[in-house]
Amino acid sequence: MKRVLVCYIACLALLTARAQERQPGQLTANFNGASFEQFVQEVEKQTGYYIYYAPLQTDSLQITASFLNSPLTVVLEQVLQNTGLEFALDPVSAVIFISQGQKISTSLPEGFFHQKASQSAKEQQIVIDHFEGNTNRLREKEDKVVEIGRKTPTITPGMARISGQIRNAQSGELIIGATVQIDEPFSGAATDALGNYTLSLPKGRHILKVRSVGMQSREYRIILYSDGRLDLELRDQVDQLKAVVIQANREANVTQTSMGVEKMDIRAIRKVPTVMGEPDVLRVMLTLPGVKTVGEASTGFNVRGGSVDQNLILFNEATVYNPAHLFGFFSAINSDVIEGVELYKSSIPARYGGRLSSVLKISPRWGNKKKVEGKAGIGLLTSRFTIEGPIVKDRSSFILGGRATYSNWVLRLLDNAEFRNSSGSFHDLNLNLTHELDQRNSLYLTAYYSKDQFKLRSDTLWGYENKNATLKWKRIFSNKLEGEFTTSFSRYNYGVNSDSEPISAFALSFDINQVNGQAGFIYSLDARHTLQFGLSAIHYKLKPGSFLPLGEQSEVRADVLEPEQALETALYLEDEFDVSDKLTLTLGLRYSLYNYLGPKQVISYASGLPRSENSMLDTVAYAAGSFIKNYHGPEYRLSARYLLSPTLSVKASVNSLRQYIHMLSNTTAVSPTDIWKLSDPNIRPQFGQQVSLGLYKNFRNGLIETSLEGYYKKINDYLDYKGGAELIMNHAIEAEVINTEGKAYGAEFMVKKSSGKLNGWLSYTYSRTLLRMDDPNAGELINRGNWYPANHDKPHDVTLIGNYRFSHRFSVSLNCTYSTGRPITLPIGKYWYAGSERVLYADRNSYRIPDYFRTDIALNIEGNHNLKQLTHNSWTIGVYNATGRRNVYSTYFVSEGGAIKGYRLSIFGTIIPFINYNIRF
Amino acid sequence: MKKWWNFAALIGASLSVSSCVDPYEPEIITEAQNYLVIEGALNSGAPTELRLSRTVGLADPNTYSPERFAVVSVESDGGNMIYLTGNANGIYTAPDLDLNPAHRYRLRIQTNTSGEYLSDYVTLKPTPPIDSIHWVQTAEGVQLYVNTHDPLGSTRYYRWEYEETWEVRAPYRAEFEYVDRQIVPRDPIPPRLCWAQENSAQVLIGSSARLVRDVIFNQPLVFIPHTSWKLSQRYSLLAKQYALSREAFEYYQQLKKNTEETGSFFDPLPVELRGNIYSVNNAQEPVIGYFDAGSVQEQRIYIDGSEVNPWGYRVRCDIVMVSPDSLDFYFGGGTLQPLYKDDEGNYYGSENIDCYDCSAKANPVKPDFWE
Repeated sequence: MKRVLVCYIACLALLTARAQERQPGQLTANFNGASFEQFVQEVEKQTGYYIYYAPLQTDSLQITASFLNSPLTVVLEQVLQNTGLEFALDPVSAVIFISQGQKISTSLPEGFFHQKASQSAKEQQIVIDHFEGNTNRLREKEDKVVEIGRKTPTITPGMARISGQIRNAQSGELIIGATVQIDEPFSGAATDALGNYTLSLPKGRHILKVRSVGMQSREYRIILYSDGRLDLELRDQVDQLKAVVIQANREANVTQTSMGVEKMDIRAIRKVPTVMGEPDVLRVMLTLPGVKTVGEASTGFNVRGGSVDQNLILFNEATVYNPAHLFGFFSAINSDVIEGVELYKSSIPARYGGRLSSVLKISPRWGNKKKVEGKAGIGLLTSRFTIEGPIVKDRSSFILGGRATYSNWVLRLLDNAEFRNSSGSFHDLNLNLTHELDQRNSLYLTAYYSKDQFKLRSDTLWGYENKNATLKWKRIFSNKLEGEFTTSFSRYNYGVNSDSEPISAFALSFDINQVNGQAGFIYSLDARHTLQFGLSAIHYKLKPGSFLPLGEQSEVRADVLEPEQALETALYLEDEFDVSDKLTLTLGLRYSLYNYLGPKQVISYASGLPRSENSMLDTVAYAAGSFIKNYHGPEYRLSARYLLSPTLSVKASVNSLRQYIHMLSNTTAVSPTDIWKLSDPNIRPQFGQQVSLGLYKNFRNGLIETSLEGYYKKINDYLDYKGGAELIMNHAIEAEVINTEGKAYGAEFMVKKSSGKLNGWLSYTYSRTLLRMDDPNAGELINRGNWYPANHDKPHDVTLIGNYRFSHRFSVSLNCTYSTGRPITLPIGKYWYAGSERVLYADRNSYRIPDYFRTDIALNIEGNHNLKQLTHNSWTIGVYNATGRRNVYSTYFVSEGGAIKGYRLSIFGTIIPFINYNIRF
Repeated sequence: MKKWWNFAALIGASLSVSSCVDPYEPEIITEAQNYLVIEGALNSGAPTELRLSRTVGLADPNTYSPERFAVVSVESDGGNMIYLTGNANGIYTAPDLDLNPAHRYRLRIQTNTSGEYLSDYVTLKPTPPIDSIHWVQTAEGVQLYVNTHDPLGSTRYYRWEYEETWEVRAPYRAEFEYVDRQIVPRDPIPPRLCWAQENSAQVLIGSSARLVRDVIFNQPLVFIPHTSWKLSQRYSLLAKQYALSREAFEYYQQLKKNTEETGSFFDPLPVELRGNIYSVNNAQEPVIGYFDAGSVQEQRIYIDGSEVNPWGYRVRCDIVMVSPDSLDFYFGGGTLQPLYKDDEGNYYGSENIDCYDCSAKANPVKPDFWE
């Protein structure tokens, strides 16, 4: 470098020479392809000015121009035109500064020296907010230039950080998943679950684009001086404004590092037709590639070949153990009190753990902070009601939602005494509270309760309940560091009461209690690194079953399984590292530790023998609080994204996870009475690893998103059960399960158009899920230890979700889904053995039920759009299973008249019409 | 879990108000599966009996389809070969064999449809004698138990079968019968003393693998409910004890879970079962059964009705007195049978055949062993 330009020194030098001003010189020269260095030499020779410049910035310039007595300013203007270079000419000291982008000021502002002392005092703080105490609340000042940070007369090159919250301008509600970005150089961020964003940008002028689903996109002109805070507000998309195009997350598909993340806004969820017209979070998840279910009436879903218990379902950080009502016909999550859901299928952030397959994060919606609003929906079987509003205006709000069913009237209509004497009902309640203590501290509270109850005939009563509560304190320590402290409680319990025979009347019950505590931090180290770290602890207490006499006459022998408890703690650190504009890495590590705690009696088994009653050696009693067994290990969460072009990227990820709590189910579909079991000395934790690779391309300016992802997954110590296993009220359940290894692989293809009159997505998934018993001590191995398909192995799956908006008031939605029939085990004959007739079964899951196909159509009719009317209403009318196909759910075989006969059961045997009325006030 | 299905169907039905259960006959079910089924063990020092049959379709009214005309042989790794002779019931037998315990044995079967089957080699596992069979009476009935032990500690896995035999007595002599509107002496008089028989129909297995000593104590064999006819006179149980290899034990355990421990409220899904006999021609062909070799130990006990007094079973006879002028009215229908008469010429009859003829339900021939 020939001459180093040091601004500060030059500036100081200037001060001393201020008195002797000179006229700018003139230049006469003819340049033909001259280098900048030659130009400088000529200028210095003719004018006596000295030029400071950076050769790196100018070495590509070629100058072709001729000047005849041209003033130096004109010369420089002409030469530097369209080069991005600026010049500053100081006639006093006869120097010229050539700089890139920012013009250098050759004089200091008034009062520079007097301010200096106070400014350097301020500089000791990590972040200086020029607007402190006077927040940049943007309402109608789009045309204004917003200044962020400590305003300085000159801007030193470098990066600065903007953070803030994005809210709905009308309701004050925080907006999740809104994007904030600039195009040159491309950089962006999205708001988190609490509406916060942080974005690192080069200092200087930018056009900041803010977008969110269903909101009007906005652009703000900003000048970024240094780190600062900028809170933004967006307005609801009003449909009349045709010109506004929703562009939410258009680039996210290509640019975000994480893979296999499916985000669904509640507005998108509402568009998908469902069985009773009730918007259903979990049903919509099933339309996404890689998410499957064994059938209509099952509570769970399977992600990329994982089993149902391998999904962590979080409602504001609290685990939901049974997310379904009425055997899975409805999801237990009220769509009116949630903001949206995120499903992580492959890159699972390091802050989550404890399940192998996926994390389904359900974000609660916070109430309107400005005015009281309500919503109600009435359907054939269910209705719901929500009310929300401020407690302290602009600072705290509540939202209270409830749903209930009145399905019994349908049962009464049936011409069958058994059905008429049966009843089924459910309800759920949600309360979400939020309070902003101050600019930096906010509190969030959610409480959730759901209950299902069924009475079969009039003597057997089944019921289950979820109870959850979460309290979260979020604190912004500085613009670089924010923390979240959460404590939550989850309880799931079920019971069966039967009093058909007074002598044998019983009450069976089961429950899980879980208490969580976690602290998570986000630290923005610098422009390239964002760190997330924290720790979490979960205490589990399970009552694995009690079987008690019911009523005075009952002679049932009371049997209570010993409770079990465990502690799961984890530490995590994740770095989001922008290596370059094109390459971003997410490097995460989680270390989990699990302690199985006393008091508990643990059975030990003879080694090398199949675990069974016959190989039990001893029972050891452990004292309360003692660590019976510890398991621990690291979990890797690595992903990378490389931008091949602004609209095309390739991503890869490697993940490993550990799971310490297992659901044991030996029925095909998950039923509410499946039991959960903690890892103990006999049952090892499950361990899963997944690698995935994907290609993402956006077309038509992000209007059409396409993605192709492939994955391979390995699961160790998955628990399968022995033939004829009895899981309920079993005192030695470890003898009934066998460690199994699993592998799953597949490819998922998706085309999505998220806006426009016609929108929706088409997905195709090819996937296989195979299991193999690899426990040397298992005794008889299922299918002779060969690989066999899991219950939810459905290789081909095609789903089409489409919406077409005819006008602002009418739209039609279509849901079309096809999949291969799931595997089943069939009896293939009978024989005589050991003195009795016995049924011969084929290999497990070696046959399949017929393929599945279903089409649903819904018509949405909005009331008029006059903004000033008191209530707004809408209708949803539709049909579920429009083709009336009898999709087989299960098959069973019964002995009738000496012969064994087969039956197949379809949950929905015909076309099911539905109607729903919604009102908003 | 059928109740869940039912309830799920119920919900479905309530939503659609239509029936959702259809007959289901997948192709594989209508297809006649006739895999070979082999039951029995090679015995040293006692007759060997193997039962060969075929599986039948689920809809088939027959449950037992014997495999006839097969060539069944046992070969040792010492080169010896023993042929078994079969009968029409598919039972292949060999007389008392004196087998060399140093050798291993396997089963070879050639069916008349030229299928060839071969078992794994198995070793002879001697069975220790039964220590005792004893019983305990409670208000519900009588439970019989078996006790055994192996001082060498090498048996560990056991299987039992039993044969029950009991005396059946008709309380009345039927001296008369009503023929052609006449009371005539009955000849021959129907048998009043018979014996009924029943074999175990459950897989009975036990293990001492978790104990220090190889002892089986109070292994339940059979339970006789208080109201059963088996103990109304005299009862005998012959218990047969077989030592099992660990593999055979696991096979029986699985068989038991698969076919006996289902049908309850929470039905587990079944698993497929594989034994140690394979098709030579087609390795994929399922063959049912487990071939094991050893010896059998037997013990018989008797329980007399007087030992379990008061027993809860009695033949209900409801004796009807018929005066001589109403004979045709009562006996003409054929359901009421005259049994005896009194000095005044009244006849006494019963409608219950068990009151005078035990051969209706049992065999009047006294078994050879009966004491």
